Amino acid sequence: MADDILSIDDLRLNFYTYEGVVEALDGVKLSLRKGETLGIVGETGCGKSVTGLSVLVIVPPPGKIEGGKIFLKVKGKDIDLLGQRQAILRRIRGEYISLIFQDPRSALNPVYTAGDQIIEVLVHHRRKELIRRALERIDKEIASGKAGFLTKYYKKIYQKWLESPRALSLQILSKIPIARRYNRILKDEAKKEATKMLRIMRIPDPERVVDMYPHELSGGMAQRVVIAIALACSPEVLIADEPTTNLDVTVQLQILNLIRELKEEFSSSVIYVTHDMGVVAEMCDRVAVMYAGSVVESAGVLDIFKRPLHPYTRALLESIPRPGTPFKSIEGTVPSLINPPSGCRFHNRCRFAMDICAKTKPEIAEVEKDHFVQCYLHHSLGE
Amino acid sequence: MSVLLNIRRLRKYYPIFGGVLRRKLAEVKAIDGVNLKMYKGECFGLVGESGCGKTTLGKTTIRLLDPTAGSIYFEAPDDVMEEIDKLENSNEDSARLKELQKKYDLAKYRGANLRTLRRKMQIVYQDPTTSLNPRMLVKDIVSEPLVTQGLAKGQDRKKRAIEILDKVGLTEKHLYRYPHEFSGGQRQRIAVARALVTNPEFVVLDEPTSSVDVSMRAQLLNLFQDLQKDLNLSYLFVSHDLSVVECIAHRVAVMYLGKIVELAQTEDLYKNPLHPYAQALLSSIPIPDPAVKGRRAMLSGEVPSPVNPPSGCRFHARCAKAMQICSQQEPELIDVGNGHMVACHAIR
Repeated sequence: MADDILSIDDLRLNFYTYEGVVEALDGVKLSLRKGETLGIVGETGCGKSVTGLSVLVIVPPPGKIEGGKIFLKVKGKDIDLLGQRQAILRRIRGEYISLIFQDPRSALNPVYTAGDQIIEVLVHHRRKELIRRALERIDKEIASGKAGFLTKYYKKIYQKWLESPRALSLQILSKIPIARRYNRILKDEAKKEATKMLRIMRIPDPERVVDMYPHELSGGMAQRVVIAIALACSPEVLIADEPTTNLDVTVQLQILNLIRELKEEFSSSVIYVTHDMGVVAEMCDRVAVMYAGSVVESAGVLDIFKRPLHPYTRALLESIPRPGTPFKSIEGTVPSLINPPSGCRFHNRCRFAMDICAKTKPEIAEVEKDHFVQCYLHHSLGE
Repeated sequence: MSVLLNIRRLRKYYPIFGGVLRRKLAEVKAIDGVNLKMYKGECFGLVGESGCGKTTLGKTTIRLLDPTAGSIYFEAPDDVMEEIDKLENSNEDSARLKELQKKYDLAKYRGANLRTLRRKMQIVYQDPTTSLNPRMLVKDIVSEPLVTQGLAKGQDRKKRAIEILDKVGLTEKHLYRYPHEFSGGQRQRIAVARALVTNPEFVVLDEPTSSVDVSMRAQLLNLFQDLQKDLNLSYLFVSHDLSVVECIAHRVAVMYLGKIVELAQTEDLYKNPLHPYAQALLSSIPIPDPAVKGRRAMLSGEVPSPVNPPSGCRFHARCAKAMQICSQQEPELIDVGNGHMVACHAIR
């Protein structure tokens, strides 16, 4: 569609393990519209996190993308992320798409301060802007007469840096100790920017936090730093991979509100991966329900909760504990994806399974406007 | 209902050692004066944020941790409790009190007494992948309590293991397998079987559903409820998942920084929370209904350190209704009717 900022089509991904080939994603079809929050829900191992990772093309081995297309709209043009060179992907990651990881403690590097880790992103993606700011500062220092004797050499270096960042002289200079101290002005500017980011994340006393190491931060704070890293270059697509799973409900609420506000502020579109239906209801405009590697239903959040069509979605909603009613669970267990069930992968747990379900996999079809279901119950072939 | 456990002024401090001489520098006040009564056949829910001392309270209650101070009376008849109260109030160093405490106060149990106590009180840990020994067969895991307690031998032991596995929804064919061969939900069932094999009366469930999936969670909760009815168990259900506690617990206590701030029947607490912290905590549960939006009381800031808890009411720095008295005097946990207890100066 015209307003899709990201669209995934027929994505296939396998993990090559010793036990066999795990067909983790089996024809995922998704689209993210500009400015919306899309929730991806499902049980553990249904492929929701891997979908997020494939969008950034950072699936860890032994995983391998086997087919499909992921289109991202960059400056009005659709580009297929899967066919790009690493150099281009590196620019896209962080600048256009970025990811908030599940566990903030393991996502942060324990030997660098929170500030350093934000600076890394800034220096990589927004170097030109930072060099300009550094030049401005040098000019100001020279004008006020407070400049040290090296400052005018620094000015030359920075001008050169701005013109041709890959110049040989700069590459050599950056390897020489003491001489490479010209970097400090840039780092200083980046640190100011990092502090500003932390302030946007509503962290109290950001000047202090910027110099703290991850172990000094609480879970909620660490998650805010991770979000700051993700939003440092105001990306158009933000993928949040269960960002609040390990946090307490009160902190979860703070983080959810933060993501919602920042989404407006940076006018990003968000893919929110979670298994918590409560969070989905709270955050998302549209929901995609995944089961065993494919999207079985996608619709607006009200439709999903009020009129779920796929039997799995219904079962998932029924398994939410509600006081006064007996706990309902989904019969059976998630199938092994090494030997996935034939046909519809849900058929052996499904209450409404028919003969055709075990034979061929249903196509995902638009049953109502904007309500897509992958099930023969709502399909012309199934009648 | 008769009282199973009566916890009085329970404290548990963890020392922090430091310096060259490994001196004690400070104490983490994990539980700081908790009074509780748990009844027979009850599922008592304990909720709160991480670091508030819920797990410590659970473990101290069954003496996996030694309390710093306070007493835990276990199965003490009412008349005995009255006598203890009288003796305690008289402030005398009586031999009778010591004798009674030795018999009923499990905070003072030692040796053989403590060993027999282990039979009656058991625990199911949070994560079954780490609480089950990966190198032991299910048969050995489940029958180990029988070995250490000397309860059954040989064929008897095996028979008992099969019996209990059957109760938790596993079968005889699972006996000779290792924990890694099971799914998360099944592993937790093995952990439950191990806890129940000695026929305990009281089981601490320490976040038993936090490491399993939504669909398995419902099955496990059903299992807990069925077992409670069948075996007449009492539970202490420790969890940070408030919606689960709402469904399974009869009474719920909300903890904040080592103190109980509110305690009530589940329905009372969830419908009508009185303490500002309980209100904020309960309103931050995401509601799985997209039609309901925007009625949240968001807490600002974070939980203060339990090493130096704030003076007076521990919540006063984050509380919207804080008054002068809150920072000076610690509120008592008082009954406001129908067994609904609150520790707050604003509610009188």
